[in-house]
Amino acid sequence: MASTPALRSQGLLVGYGESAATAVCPPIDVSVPPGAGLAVVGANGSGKSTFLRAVVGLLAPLGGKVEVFGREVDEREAEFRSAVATVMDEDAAFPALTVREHLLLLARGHGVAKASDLVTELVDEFGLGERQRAMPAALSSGQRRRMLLAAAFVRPRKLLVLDEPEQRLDAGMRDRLVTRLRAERAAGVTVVMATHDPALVGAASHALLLTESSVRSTKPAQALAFIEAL
Amino acid sequence: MSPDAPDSPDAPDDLAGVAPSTHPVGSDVPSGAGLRALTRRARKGHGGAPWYKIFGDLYTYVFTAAIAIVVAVQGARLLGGGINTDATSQHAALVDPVWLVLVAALAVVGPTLALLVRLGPVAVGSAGALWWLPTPADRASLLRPTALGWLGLGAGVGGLVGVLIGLVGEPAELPWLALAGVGIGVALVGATILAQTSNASPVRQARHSRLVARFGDALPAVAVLAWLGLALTDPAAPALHPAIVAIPAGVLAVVALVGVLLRVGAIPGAVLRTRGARIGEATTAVLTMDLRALGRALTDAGADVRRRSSSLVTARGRMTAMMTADALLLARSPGRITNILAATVLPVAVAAAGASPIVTALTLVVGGSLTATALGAGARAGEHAPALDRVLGMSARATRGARVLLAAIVAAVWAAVVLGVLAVLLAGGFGISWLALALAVAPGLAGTGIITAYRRTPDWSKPLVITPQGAYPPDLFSAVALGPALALVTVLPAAVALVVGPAVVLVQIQVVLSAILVLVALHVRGVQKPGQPTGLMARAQAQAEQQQAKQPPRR
Repeated sequence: MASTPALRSQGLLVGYGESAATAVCPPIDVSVPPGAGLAVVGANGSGKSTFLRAVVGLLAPLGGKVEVFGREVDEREAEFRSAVATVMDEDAAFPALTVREHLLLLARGHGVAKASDLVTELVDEFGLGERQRAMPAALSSGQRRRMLLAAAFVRPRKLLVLDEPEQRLDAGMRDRLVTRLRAERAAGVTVVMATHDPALVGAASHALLLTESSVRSTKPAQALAFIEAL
Repeated sequence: MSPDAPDSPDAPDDLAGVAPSTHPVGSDVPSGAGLRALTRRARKGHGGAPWYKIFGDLYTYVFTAAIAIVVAVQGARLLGGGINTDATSQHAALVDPVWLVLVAALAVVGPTLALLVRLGPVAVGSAGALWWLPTPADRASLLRPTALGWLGLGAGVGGLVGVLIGLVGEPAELPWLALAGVGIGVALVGATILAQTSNASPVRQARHSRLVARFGDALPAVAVLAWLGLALTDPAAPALHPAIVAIPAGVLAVVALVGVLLRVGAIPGAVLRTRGARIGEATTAVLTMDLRALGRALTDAGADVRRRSSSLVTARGRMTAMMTADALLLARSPGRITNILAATVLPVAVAAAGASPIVTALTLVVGGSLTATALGAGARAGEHAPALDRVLGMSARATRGARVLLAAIVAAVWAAVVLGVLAVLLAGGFGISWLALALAVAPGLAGTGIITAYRRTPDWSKPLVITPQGAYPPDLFSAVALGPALALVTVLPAAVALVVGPAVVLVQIQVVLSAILVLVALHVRGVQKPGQPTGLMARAQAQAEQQQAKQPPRR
């Protein structure tokens, strides 16, 4: 018996209006098995982030449906929030909490055992060891991005949704992120990411090409060619 | 393993020791309240205000609130005395006090409702959205403190309004009116919170909220129209005992309270985020005392509303393009149209209700101020995003000229209608003098709107004025009072004409005043030379670079 897909969308229409006519791209049909990596690729405004927002339950579909582990997306369910880790294009923090405390807060919020040890590992991995006691206002834009990315790995997850994770990262950090995402997939975590970075696309097993007029499931190699042609 | 286990030698203690919730996800997951407690504890670990500072702040707030309540109560008592006296005098008000209370309640409930749905009311700030909402912690206990805070505020404000209305009327009815106020306040807040829990998509919820907010915006105008209708028809006031309102309001309040406690956890994350962003924007505007930003935060200016594109047929050149854009902005702002409508009806309703010419003149000033503010919409948008004006390639003076011209045309219509009706009601006819006065006041109102829109924001770099309520920039009062003060000066000759008649000298004074205001509106201060830095940060950077250039190079 085939296992339940980690992510499946059927005739999914996404957009910021109220009717199907306001959808930003054609219907999206995709099925991602557990442990796979899906790179969502497309030009600016093609609907990549909008699709991811629908996947994580921040945007209701205009048509069709989207399921995560066989259940229709509803971020109000605790089980959903516990399974899906996201890093979207958002940047906010409590001004009076340090980097370490933010990560610790999220870890404990998810009931992580040995939270402090895990946070110590992650601040080192994401190059924040020296800045772990710093307040968010004292961080550079790239360091804040690292903190937000580390937040996705400090908690339990079965599906990892990343919106252009390469943004504001230096080349070294991007390489480490690619390695980390490969390790996540090897551990059974499904990765879905919108990206323009060829190295990150290389870490995926599937690709979804979005344009205003078409949506195509394909191989990462073809997605790389698509990115180069953009 | 429990979350407070010493899992690392240097583990900070301030994030440990939260009781696990009974949530099915996992026994170690804290409750939403626990998550708040974790954050609070970590924050405290970095100092925070000492108890005497908190006590001092609390004392100041309580003291200020007490003074405000005493002033309001005294005002209500005076008003009550005035109404009771009027009722027995020859110049009795044509509108019964019971009607007045109902109309006033309508005028208060509308904006309150609009404010509530625009702000949330239940919301989570941007940090909470990113660090609390993704956890499996139960959302109900996370949101309950916020929801209860809003319900408490609704009860407090409603109760206070009830008491103030009670002081105007019969003392025996005061407890019932207070209870009715509390009930209506809680029910209103509860209903808006329950609306947030709807299963409608966030986009649809936003559209519903916008509709409700616009309905609330329109209620004061409806109240003014109702007042006019009551003044003209003089119906008998209903024999309404406050208990008839208080008991159902109390029941509704209990239902709303229970509903909120049970359902608050069902508010979608997207709704909490968008409303949190709106509250953040409004809070920043209040803290920086930027009234224009506050106006944007509390209106639908930032809403993602899509409309059919206009063909812009009246845009035949740069000047007309600017005027067309401003006219379109005004036409697409139902709140501003409502304000102009209310500003038109208010003085007429007051005059029709039998008020003295002096009171009517005062409401004309209020109406003029509302109209001038509405007419400055385009200029405020231009001040907020000057890049949009720049694309037309007009000089700053010509840009303002186009804006004054459009605003003057609209103001002329407003002034002609209002002064025309008032002249018929108070002076027995609308002659050429009144028409001249109306046409003369219009450019002044337009100038007022434009001057107010382009006024300087309070300068926080100057020495601050220290008051018991906090430190404020010295030009804060002028920034707040500029609009109403200019409106008063602009409409003064027309207002005097309502009392003494439209003398030629008043028309002349009006023409001179309007000319001065238009000239001031067209004046562009502090024009930057090309390459000269603008803004605090840019200037500071330029100064630093200049100082660096003066220093001898290091070897």
